Amino acid sequence: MEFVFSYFFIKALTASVFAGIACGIIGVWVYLLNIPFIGVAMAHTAFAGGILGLFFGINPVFSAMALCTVSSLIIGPVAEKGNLSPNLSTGILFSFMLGIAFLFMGKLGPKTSEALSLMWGNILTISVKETFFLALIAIFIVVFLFVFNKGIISVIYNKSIAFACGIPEKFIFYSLLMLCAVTVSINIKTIGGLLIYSLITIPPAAAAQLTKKLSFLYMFSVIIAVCSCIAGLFVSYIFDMPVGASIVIISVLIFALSFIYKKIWR
Amino acid sequence: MNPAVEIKNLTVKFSSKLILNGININVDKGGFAVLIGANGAGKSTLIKAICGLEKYEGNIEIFGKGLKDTDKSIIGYVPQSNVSEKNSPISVYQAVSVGRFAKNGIFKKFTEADDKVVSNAIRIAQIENIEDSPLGEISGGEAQKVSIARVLAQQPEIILLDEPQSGLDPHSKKTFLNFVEKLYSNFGFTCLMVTHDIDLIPQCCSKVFMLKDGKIVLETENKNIKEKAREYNIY
Repeated sequence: MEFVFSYFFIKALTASVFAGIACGIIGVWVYLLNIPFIGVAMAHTAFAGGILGLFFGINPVFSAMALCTVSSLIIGPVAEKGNLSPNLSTGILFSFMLGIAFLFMGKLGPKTSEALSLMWGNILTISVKETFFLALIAIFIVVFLFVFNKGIISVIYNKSIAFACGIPEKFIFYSLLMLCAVTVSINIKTIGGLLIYSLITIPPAAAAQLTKKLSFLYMFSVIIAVCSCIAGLFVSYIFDMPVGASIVIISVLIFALSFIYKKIWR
Repeated sequence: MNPAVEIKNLTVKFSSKLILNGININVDKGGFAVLIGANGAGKSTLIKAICGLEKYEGNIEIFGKGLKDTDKSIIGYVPQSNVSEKNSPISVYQAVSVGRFAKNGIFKKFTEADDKVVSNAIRIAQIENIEDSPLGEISGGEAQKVSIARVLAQQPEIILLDEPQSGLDPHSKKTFLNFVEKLYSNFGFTCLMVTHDIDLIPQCCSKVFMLKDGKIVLETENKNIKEKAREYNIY
């Protein structure tokens, strides 16, 4: 019980709440824009960025964030200019980044174990600075949602129609991709490069089993993501399991319960 | 007076394939023009080019201004297919409100007056019963009406209808056509409608353009063009 009130645990708990808020909202956008592959591609880009950071002696979270942001700004325009679907361009990016990651991993030497930890993360090791950034990004995402809600609704409704009637759909869409990139990269140390994708995909999918209203979808997705993070933290402490994996398994269990609820009661 | 839509020497290519080849058409202000042609003739591409959704060579002017200088909120676009993703939680009311977002910009507060315009558009389109339904749960015909309501809420000066009856059964096609005609006579906007069905040219139509293999082969004010369609072998 003493551990629960420890500095590490409270810091991790705070980070869990902000990670849940950010991933819950981003997940709804990824889910409704039907671009789930973006989460995988960004996760691997963040992983490659983290490894590059370790290689060049930079904080891996910041190098991951830089590479993810640049990639998110390339995906949209490249897909448009080349007449490719966003899923195809993210697929190519995914492969390229995986190549970069493993190329530099081979050159890391003694830092290889640190690089591997970026795959599954550990929220207990998050620093105050990183928690602060995570909070800042979560708040920014919430503010963005409120300020650009009309534009976001228009883009989710139909990107072509939004463009045709003069709504700045490109700005909105690219901003959503960039926020997704930043969220994934900031969480690489907490949830892990391989598992963060699940925290973006599963909460909105579970929320969609419970509601068909957009506002509730946001709300439930955030609640499920936050609950998964907090519960994962406790479960990992109680059963001595890896935190990232616990978070993801709990979010999948919540999805299963939501799915059963939908089939039985709705 | 400048025409509402003036297209000069418009060419659209997909890779090396010529989709539209030197199109020249005018649609007068307040006029109802129909663009008719077989599938693959380039009708939808032309509508998309006017909306800025396709790259083109040539010139498109809206009320005498180039497309880049035109406030796009004065153009209402109803695409061919309005079927939403099955999981779309966007409600019919929110979808119709997109028209207001286009008219006012996305930062302006959504006022009570905007709410009235949206509710009125929903009433005119006769979709009050599904106002709160998510788009993922409505039929194709209802989705077309939602799209029309969205355009009404936008209060544009020009409406571009890209085969609005596609996907509807024959009875619904006629009903929908009557509905569009009624709207046109009540609101007096400029309209350019695309169809491949000669029987779906509305009575209010003032000009017909016949499109074949990316070229305008006939421009006429006569709606009875069945003979001409045969003559030009457009199907």
